[in-house]
Amino acid sequence: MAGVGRRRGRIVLSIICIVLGVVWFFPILWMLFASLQPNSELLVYPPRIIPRVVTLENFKTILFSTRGVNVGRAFLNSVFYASIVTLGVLVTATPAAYAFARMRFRGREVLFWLIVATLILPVQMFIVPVYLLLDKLDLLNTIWAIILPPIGPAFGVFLLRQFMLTIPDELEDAAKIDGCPPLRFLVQVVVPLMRPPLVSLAILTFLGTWNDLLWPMLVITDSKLLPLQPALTRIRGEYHGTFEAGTIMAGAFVAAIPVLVIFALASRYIVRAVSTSGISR
Amino acid sequence: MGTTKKKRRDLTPFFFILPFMIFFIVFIVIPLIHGLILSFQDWGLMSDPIFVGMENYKELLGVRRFKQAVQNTLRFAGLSVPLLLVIPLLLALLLNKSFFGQKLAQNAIISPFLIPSGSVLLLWVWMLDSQTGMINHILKALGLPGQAWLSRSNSAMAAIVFITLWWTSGYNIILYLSSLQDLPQELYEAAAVDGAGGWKQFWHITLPLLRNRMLFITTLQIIASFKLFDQVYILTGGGPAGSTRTLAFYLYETGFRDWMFGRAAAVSWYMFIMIAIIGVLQAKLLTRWLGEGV
Repeated sequence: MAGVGRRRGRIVLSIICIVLGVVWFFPILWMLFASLQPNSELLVYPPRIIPRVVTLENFKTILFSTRGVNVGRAFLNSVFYASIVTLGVLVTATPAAYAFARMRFRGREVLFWLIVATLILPVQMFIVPVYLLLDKLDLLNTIWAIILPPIGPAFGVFLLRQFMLTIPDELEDAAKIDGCPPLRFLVQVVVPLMRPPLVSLAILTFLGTWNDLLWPMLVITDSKLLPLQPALTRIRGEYHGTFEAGTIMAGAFVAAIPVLVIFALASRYIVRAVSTSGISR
Repeated sequence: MGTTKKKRRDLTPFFFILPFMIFFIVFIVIPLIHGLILSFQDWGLMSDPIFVGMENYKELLGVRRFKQAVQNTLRFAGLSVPLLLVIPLLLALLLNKSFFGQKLAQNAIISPFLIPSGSVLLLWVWMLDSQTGMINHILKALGLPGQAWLSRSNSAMAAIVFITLWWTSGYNIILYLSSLQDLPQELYEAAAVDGAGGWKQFWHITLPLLRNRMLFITTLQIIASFKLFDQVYILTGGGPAGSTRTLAFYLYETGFRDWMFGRAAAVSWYMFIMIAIIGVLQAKLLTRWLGEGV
């Protein structure tokens, strides 16, 4: 009896969750289906969710149009910026985290916790002074304004240090006896050991840069240098929301494709990245 | 041999942290100090900075838009923090079971949080459009009245909360799921032997064990709710009638529309003070409240 009740419970749970999942995901499906329809089809009532006519016209318009901002170019800009920032964070945070976790020097703990304490400060506290700094250095409206500041925050150092604390002492002792220089030890032994947290950090950094709107919007006005997020907010002014909804949805979907692809291919890594980002408990 | 080697070794940590420290000092430490100095200065686009003491802080208290921004930010936090604490927990409890379609449902509910704000918000601007929006189409089909959700002051903030909940729940679900999977199964087996049902098990085992995770999520959500910008910028522009103007949006307006850098810096320090106060209060309250279950 109990078994039957349990199986029935499981079927009900299954149905509830699948329905919930479909409803939850529906807006994103609608974004895709709308972008595949001619704009005129989107004005009819009742709306056609499954496209009657499928066309790639909207994607062609949004990616290659010379009307205002070019989303195709902004897409490539974003790939470039996010990759460089990710590289910059990995290259600077890895040795620093290693030093804070494994090396002995005066003031190590105090310095580390002071650095980590800045993580709770809201990003808004840095916007005005960093903007003025870049202005003074004549770097506004250059790629440096997007690439350099995100390397400052201590998140990567904090995350990697937690994992580096777990490296067994014996490994280091062996390396010291062999006369292996610290930098080579870091690159050849520590980095391969730290692959999972490094991948997590890379994913979080890439997505963070890809998804940032406010900062690039403030420091970049040249539409050639614009990354995708501010470019998207601009197409809204350039296309008519009601009559060109399909075209705008094509732009929105283009920006969502990379993250959806990363999620489809590496959801395991993303889940781990997020759960380790909450490592402080 | 010993001495030279030792001296050289002493500099290695320095070289290891140097690249990071350069960026940290230039983009975190110096701006933090400069921001504090700025908040005591009157500095516009055309003028040179003048030291004005606490003037920016005092003046802000009398600015209607600032007060409105504080109220709206607290309203958003008051609505979104509890919702983003509880609803992802309920969803995580559902998804933590194994059943047919579990993976599918989980990915469908989690994935929106990864999508950039530009995409998500352009989508919702259209979905909530009074004439051609899907939401009003659905309401109409159900025989319910639709409305211009984003251009009415009574519904604009609610719409922002709703969209934020839909968009960002996934992140918290992941945090909850990772905690739920770490819970010791023996406790539940022992509880079941003692005849404790699902509800009792949840109340006396699951909830107390999730306490730290819930505290963490609350802190995260409070900080996030004070930063609310993208939704306001894209969906409402702070309107209608300033009903969705948040502190982060007001800071943007002050610094980059009115070009009053000193005052914008003061706004950011007010933000910090408020986050710090609320953070301490919530840690105390939540510990006491959740502590009872232990």
